[in-house]
Amino acid sequence: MSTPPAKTDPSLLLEASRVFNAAGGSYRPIAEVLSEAAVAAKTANDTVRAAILCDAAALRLSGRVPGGWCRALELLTDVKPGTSEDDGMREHLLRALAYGQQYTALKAAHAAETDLAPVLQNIQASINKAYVAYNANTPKTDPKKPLNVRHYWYMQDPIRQQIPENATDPENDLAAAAYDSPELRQLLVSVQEPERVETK
Amino acid sequence: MILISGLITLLLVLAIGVVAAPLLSRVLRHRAAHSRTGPRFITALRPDFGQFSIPRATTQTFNLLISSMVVFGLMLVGWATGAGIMRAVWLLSGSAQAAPGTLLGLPPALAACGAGCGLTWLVILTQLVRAIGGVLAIAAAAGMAGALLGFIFGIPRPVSASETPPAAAGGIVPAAGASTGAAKRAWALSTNLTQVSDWLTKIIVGVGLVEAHKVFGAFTAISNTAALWLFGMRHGSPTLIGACILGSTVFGFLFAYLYTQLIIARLIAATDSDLDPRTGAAEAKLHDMNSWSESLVPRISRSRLTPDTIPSPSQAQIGAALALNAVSFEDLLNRSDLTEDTVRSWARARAVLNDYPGAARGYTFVLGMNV
Repeated sequence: MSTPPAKTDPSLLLEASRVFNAAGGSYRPIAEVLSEAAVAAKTANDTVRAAILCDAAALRLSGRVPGGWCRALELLTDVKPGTSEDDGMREHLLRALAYGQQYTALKAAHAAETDLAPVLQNIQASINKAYVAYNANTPKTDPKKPLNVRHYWYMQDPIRQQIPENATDPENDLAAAAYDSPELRQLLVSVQEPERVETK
Repeated sequence: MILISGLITLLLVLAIGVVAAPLLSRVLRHRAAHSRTGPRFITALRPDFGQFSIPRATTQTFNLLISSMVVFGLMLVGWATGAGIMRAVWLLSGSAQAAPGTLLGLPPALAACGAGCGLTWLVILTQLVRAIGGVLAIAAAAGMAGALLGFIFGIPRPVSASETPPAAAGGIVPAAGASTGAAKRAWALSTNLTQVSDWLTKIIVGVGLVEAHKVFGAFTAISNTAALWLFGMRHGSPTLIGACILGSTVFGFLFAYLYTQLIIARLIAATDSDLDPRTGAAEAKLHDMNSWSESLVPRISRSRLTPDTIPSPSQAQIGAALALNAVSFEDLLNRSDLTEDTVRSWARARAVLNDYPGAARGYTFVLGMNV
């Protein structure tokens, strides 16, 4: 059990929440408390604010903080365009994952095709924006940094093989949508492995 | 009758010891836990090296030494108790053949009192206190002498630049970003004591080797003198007093040596780093890092399995982190010029070096949290 932080400096809270998160184990709940405190502190500059909101959205998408995809999308709405990390790519990627979770939830609730189609479009739009943001600068500044989306939909991905089949969070946010939409599947392949697509 | 009195006294002493020892231990522990001005010396005797970032094994080794010293002390007290009672019995039985008025004899009035007199108990008690106190005083004196040697041998000596081996030979590589000018210090700790310690160590070893053949004779003379004055060379005192002196000296030496090496050396090093301007430069370097920079700490990811590729910190940042990493958290808090920025930079240093639990301690302090 921990007491709330006495300080409200957003950059300090952001930094501390990430440190506690990276420390793992029993430190992680403290990371979640600090992340919430950082969201509540609204005096940060745009870059710090974007990082805080994206962290908070990631916590909701991973189910560590209640709110799910719905609250994650609300948080991401407050991010000023182009201010999130990786030249704005992170915001769009998280938004795509949130829409992916929304699609999965609607599918589980047997929603009509008319309800599913706009969500699918939102996913594709977000992935496209993420790819554009990624291509704007990242390949030049950090060529080894991938636009990592395969983990969230491709069941044969070697990394995701580490997730147990009965895991409570299979982290396959885009799998249902990719399964239903060949266009989205093609888009996901093309953004993940552009060279492979170009050679075909 | 006298023998029975002696046995009853022995049983009483043992019973009091058995009851008092746990009670005393509990009282001391309670005071240490609930009082800020409690028996600090108990804590000092049993330091927790976990606070100094030293492996747990060191703490256990030190505690083992302390436990051995306690066991040794209890054995001495046990023997002194028995010897004191035996001496009282011997005196009261009229076997003592010593000149009246000397320490070995009893005053004629008391000797005439006879067995069963109330003064018998007084004699037994005083002999008991005399024996235990005498043996413990000898042990303490020998321990102090050993401790002085241990301190002299254990005190750290700073390595001067001319003595530092080249990097190719395994010497210390200066942190990246630390200029030659920065390596010069505005203030330095006095090394007078370390120099004296250096001379004394060499003198003691040199003279000790030359005079080694006289050591045994001197030791025997000291222990025999103590045994004569305390117990009239009876009850195995020549052997036991010798063992007491030898054991206490060894324990005193080991304790002081380890204490000096493990604690005093760190305090000196911490004070030294407190005076070192390179720490200030390292703090400034780390202070300049952006709070969202992933070279400081990775972002919170949606996935628990695939952290994004993390950019490495620059060489200058790593150098600054290494410079601050040498300062333990406790030493940091003891700094006279401590500020929140200092603690934050220290925590950042730990984070840059991927010691996130260590960094969390710093952030907990800065945020004023009670985790």
